[in-house]
Amino acid sequence: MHLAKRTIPVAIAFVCGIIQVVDYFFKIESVNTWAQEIRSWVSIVAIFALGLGAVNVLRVHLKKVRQAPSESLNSILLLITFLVTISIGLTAGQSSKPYKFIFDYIIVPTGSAIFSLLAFYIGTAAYRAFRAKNAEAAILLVTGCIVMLGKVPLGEKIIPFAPKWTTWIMEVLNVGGQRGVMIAGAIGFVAVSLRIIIGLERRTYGVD
Amino acid sequence: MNISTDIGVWVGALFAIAIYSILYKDNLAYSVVESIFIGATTGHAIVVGVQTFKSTAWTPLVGGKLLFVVPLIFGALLYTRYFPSVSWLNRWPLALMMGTSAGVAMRGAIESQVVAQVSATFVNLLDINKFLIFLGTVLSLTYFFLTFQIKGKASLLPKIGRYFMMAAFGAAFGNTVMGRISAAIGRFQFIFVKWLGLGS
Repeated sequence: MHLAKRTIPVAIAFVCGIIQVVDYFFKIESVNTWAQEIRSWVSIVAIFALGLGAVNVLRVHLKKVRQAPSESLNSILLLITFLVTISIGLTAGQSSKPYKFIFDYIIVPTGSAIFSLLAFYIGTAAYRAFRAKNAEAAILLVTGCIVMLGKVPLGEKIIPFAPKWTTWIMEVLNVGGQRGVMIAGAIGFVAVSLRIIIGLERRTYGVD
Repeated sequence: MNISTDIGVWVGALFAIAIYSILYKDNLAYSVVESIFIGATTGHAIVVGVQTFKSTAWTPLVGGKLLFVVPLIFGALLYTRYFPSVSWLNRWPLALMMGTSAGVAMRGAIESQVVAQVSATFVNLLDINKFLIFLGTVLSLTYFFLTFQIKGKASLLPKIGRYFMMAAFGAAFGNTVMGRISAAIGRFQFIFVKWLGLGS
């Protein structure tokens, strides 16, 4: 049982990971074929994982409806919309009129309204973040304000050099700072990936 | 004023207004629209998933690629988590996904985030802007140097690196704010121009 519960998952992660790495460093045709095959397997398993998410949504909201039907209007609406979207999508197809209605007039406008909500919340976050308490916060404040002003025509009217400075900040200061963060993050990422492949980070796939 | 007669535009506009109503306080209209949105989005994800499954797994399998049985079995094993006696079996597909993702991500990280970035940094250092990029990159990296504590005058290096990073974060913040504001403007245009017909 130990073999099936602990050793096989570690072996699977090792073999799958090492094939991808070997395929990258040594251009061996048979390894490349297997690496591609495994990548396509993963995308198929990921679809099953998506289904798992749907099953969880169903379980959570059905439980809520069963426990307190009078207080679960939101769960009922969620379940109805969920099932209606799936049945239309699978029977009539994604190019059918009712499905397009759901996509164009419910998913897209509501999604972008939710996305844009952050424009309002970010204002309060900016108030807290942009208080020049020290040198770092002052730099954040100045670059943030210049970039915001440089992106709109009104900003150029207030500070004529704002667009030019925005370009310089984005192409020089931003690149320098971000590049350091990116390289440091990537080195950490490589370390974690190696730990997963060689079986030191087993918790990521449920083995203690 | 020329109000739209399109039912879809009405639905889109009323849903957007319901979403914006959260800015005042939590209310029934917001939670109803939020639930409908989550239901529709999850349903859409499943529909797309099923279509992708058909084209990437089912069609090749029926066409004779019998090896595709393996991911189907592994995918099905994910659902063993609902049966406590055999729930450990879902470790196998997770190990497949995690191992492969780690390998693929490692290749990507080395190539695009280390090698490409380093080689792009050491270019034409006599140019003042290129030199500043080089300086920003190296000094930002010193901030992540954790092998031992940098003391004395050398501690100025990670400090300057932090200033470069704050400038980058400020720029990213400003960019994000403007992106979100333009999305909000798009929604308001939809409400005022497309739905209410003002200014058209």
